[in-house]
Amino acid sequence: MPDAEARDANPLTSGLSRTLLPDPCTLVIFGGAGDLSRRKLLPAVWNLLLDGVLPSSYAVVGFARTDHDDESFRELATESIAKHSRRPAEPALFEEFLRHLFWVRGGFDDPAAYVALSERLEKIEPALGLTGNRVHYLSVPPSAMGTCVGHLQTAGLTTPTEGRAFTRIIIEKPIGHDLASARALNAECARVFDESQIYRIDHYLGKETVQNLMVMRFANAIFEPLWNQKYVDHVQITVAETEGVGTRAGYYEESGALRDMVQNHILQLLCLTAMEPPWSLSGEVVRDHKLAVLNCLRPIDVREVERHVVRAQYAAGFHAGIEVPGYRNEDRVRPDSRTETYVAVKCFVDNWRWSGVPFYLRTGKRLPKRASEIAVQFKEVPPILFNADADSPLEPNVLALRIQPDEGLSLRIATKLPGPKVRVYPVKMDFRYGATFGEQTPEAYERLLLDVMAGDATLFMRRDAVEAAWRWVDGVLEGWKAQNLRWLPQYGAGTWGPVEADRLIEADGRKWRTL
Amino acid sequence: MTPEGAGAKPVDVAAIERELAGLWADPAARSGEEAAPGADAVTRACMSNLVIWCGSPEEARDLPSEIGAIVEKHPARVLLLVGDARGASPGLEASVTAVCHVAGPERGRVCSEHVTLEAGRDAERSLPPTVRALLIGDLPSALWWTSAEPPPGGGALFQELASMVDHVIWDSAGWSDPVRGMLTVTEWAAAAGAVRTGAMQGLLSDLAWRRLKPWRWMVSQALDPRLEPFALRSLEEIEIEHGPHALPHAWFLIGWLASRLGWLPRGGKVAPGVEIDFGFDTEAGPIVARACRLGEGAAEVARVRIAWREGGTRREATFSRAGADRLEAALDAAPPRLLAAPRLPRAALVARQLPKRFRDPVFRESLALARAMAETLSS
Repeated sequence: MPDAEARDANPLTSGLSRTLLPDPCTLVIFGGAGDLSRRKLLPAVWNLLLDGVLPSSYAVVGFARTDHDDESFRELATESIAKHSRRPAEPALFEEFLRHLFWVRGGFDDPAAYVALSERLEKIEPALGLTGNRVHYLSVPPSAMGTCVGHLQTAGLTTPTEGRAFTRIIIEKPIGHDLASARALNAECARVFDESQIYRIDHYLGKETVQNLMVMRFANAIFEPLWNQKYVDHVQITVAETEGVGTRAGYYEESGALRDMVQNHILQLLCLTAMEPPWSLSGEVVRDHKLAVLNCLRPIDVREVERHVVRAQYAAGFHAGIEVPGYRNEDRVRPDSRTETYVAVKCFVDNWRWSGVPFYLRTGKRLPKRASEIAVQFKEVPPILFNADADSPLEPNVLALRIQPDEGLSLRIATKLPGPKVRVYPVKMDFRYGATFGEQTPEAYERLLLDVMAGDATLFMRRDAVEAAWRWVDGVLEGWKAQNLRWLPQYGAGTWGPVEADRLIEADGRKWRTL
Repeated sequence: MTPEGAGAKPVDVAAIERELAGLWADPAARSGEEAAPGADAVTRACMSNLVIWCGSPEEARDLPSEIGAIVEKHPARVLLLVGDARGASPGLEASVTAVCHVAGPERGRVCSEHVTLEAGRDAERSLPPTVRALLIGDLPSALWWTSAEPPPGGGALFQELASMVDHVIWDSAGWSDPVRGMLTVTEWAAAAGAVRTGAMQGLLSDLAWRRLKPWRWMVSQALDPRLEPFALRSLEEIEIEHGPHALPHAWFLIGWLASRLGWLPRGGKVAPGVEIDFGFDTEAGPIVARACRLGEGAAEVARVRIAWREGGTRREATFSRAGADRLEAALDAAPPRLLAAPRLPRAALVARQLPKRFRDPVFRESLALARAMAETLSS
C-alpha cells in the first residue's frame, strides 16, 4: 500500500503533522560501529526520539564484523551520543532507548551472517511490537555495496515479511566512480529492489538552508521574476573545507574533489538553484524538475576542459596558525599523486531561463574557512545616475544563501551614506537562522532518516539524476585524462585556491566572492 | 540583561520605543554584566509580537521567567500587560528590558525586547492604543491570555486586543468553571470565524489541546487500522482519567475521537462522584465515553482506556503517563510501548504554538464536539 494511501486509511492521523507519521520500523545499520554511525546516525536516532517523532515502536540493529554484542554496542552508542549528539542523554529515557539497540556480528561478505541477521530480526521485532518494516542503511565501503545487496536478497531481507510492511535501503555516496560503475551499481540494486525502495542519501539535501532554497524561491513573490538570464549576471556555488584529507586518503586518492563534491553535493545545489517551479511538492515531481536541470547542463567537451575547469592540489601551508603538510605529503597519499583537492568549474545550463548565465562552481580542501554558499549576482544597473562614474562603479546586488556555517541569507544592496553628499555604499541585509529562530537547527541526518521511515523520497537522489550527473562529470574526467598532466597546479593550504582558478573567472571580468 | 529580564527600567510610556532603541546602542554596557567569554556579540532577534495579558500582579509573578523560556525558543517583542485594578496607582506604568540567552560559543547572545505595561484602576482602556503603537509591523502577532478566566471574560479589552493580532492562545486547563468557559470560548470562536479580521482569521490555540498531541499520536499509532483492523470500527468503551482542573483535556480527547470517527453526540450525564458519561451514536451502535476526575495529580490526562470487540473477544488498549518524560501504551498483555513525551511547562507549549501559522481544522472540530458535551452538562 503506498504510504499516502496508508496514512489516509487511519482517520486519527489527520491533523497530525506529516513528519510525525513514520510507521514502526527497524533500522539496520550496516557498518553500525563505523564513523558515520557513531557521529551521525546514532545521535540522529536519539534526537528524533527526544523530539517525539520516532515511531512508538522501533529497533536499531548494528551489523558489522566488529566484535560487539548488544551490551557493547549500547556502550558505543552511549559514548557516541555523549560526544556527538546536539542534545545530551537524559537518564530515564536513555535507558529505555538503549534497550532498543541490538548488535549482530558478521562480515559484509559472509552470506551466513545475513541469515543470522534475519533470524535475529525475527526475534527482536515481535518482542517490540514491530511488524516487519525495515530500513537497511548501507554505511559500507563502495566496494562492499553490491555484495551487501546480493546477500540481503539471498537471506530474504529485501522484501517485506508481510504484504503491508515495507523494506527500504539507504545508500551513501559515492554511487560509483564514473557513469559506467554508477550504472552497474544502480543495476545491481535494481535487480533486488524497486526504485521506490532505494534512498540515495546526500546529506547536503537535509540541511535546513538547502531546503529553504525552494521555500525562498517559490514562497516569495519577489525573487522568481528576477531569477533568469534577464536579471542574473552569474551564479557562484562554493563548498569550502578547511580540513585536509585526514584519514580518508585511501578513498580520496581514488576520488578527488570532482567526484567527492561536485558530482553530488554541488550539482544538487545547482539543480535546486536553477530548476523550474515544480507543479507539486511531491517527491517525483521535484526530482523530475531537478533532473531537467542536469539534462540541460552543457557538456564540457574534452578539448574545452582546460578552458572551463581548473584542478589543483594543496601544498604545505597553515591552518589555524599551525603548519600543515601539502597533499602529497599526507599519510597514505602517493608522492606523485595527481588527485585534485580543489576544482573550479565554469558551466552553463542551456535552457530558456539560464541561457548565457555562467555558473561558477568551486570546492576545495585546506581553504581558509569552512563555508558553503550559493550566491546569485544580479546584473549591474545602467551606467547612468549613481552608476555613471566608470571609476567608481556600483557593486551589483548579490543574494547569498549560506548553507554552513551560520546558516542564513543576505542581500547586498546599494544605499546612501548619511550626510549632505550623495554617496552610495553597499550594505548587507542579513538573515541568520540562529539569530531569528533562536533554536538549534536539527542535523541533516535527523530529517533524512525520518523521511526514509516515513517513505518520503523528495530529498533523495533518483537513479536517473545520479547517472545524469555522472554523464556530465565523465566529460570532465575524460578531458583530464587526455591532458595527462604530470603535475597539478598547487595552492598553499589556507589560501582560496590556485591562481588558475582566479584567471578562470577573471577572464570573464568577474571575480570569486570573498567568503 | 538576564534570561529573566531582571533590571527592567521604568520609562515614560511615550518614550518606550526610544528606550528600546537605546537598549541596542550598547547593550553590554547597559546590562552592567560581565559578558561570558565568547558571548560579547549581542543580536536582537524578533520573529513576532507577543502580547501577554495577565489579570493581576500576583498572576504575573512567574511570567518573567516564562517569557525568558519562550523567547529563547521563539524570539519576539514581548508586551506584557498586567492589570492592577486594586493597585494604588491609577495610571499606566511602563518598563523596558532585554531578555537574552547565550546562543552558543560562536553566536554570542540573542536578545528579545520586553515591555511591561502595568495598568492601574483607570488605565485599562489605554492599553489597546499603547499596544497598537508598539506592535512591530509586518510580523505575526499573538495574544496569550494567561488569566484563569476564559478570554471572552475579558470583555472589551480582550476583544480589542484580539482584533490586533492574528493568533490567540489560552489554556482551558485550570478554568474554575470549565462548562461555562467552554461555552463562552466556543461562542466567541464561532463569531470570530464569521468576522475574519485579526485573530478572527482563525489562529486559535488552546494549550490544553496542544498537551494532547503526544496522546493523539500514540492512540492513532496503536489503533492504526493496518495493525488493529477492528479497533476503530468496533469501539465499545472509552474511559479517560484526568487530574483536577483538567476536564477540558478529556473533552478534547473524546471530541477528537468523535470528530475523526464520525460519531454523533447523544447527551451526557454527571454520575455521582466525579464521573461524567457522554453518549455517542456510531455506525456500530451507541457507545459511552467516560471522564473520571482523580482526587489529586497534575492538571492533565493520566490514563486512557479504550476497549473494542474483535469477533467474540474483548480487547483493550491502555495509554498512561509513565513519569515526567514519557507515555506508555499497553495493548492486551503485550509489553508496553514507550513514547518520549516530556510534560511541557506552559511556557514551552506557548513557544511551540507561536510559530504555528495554519488553522487546525481538527482542533476546530474537536472544539465543536467539546462544546456539544459542555452544552449537555449546562442544560
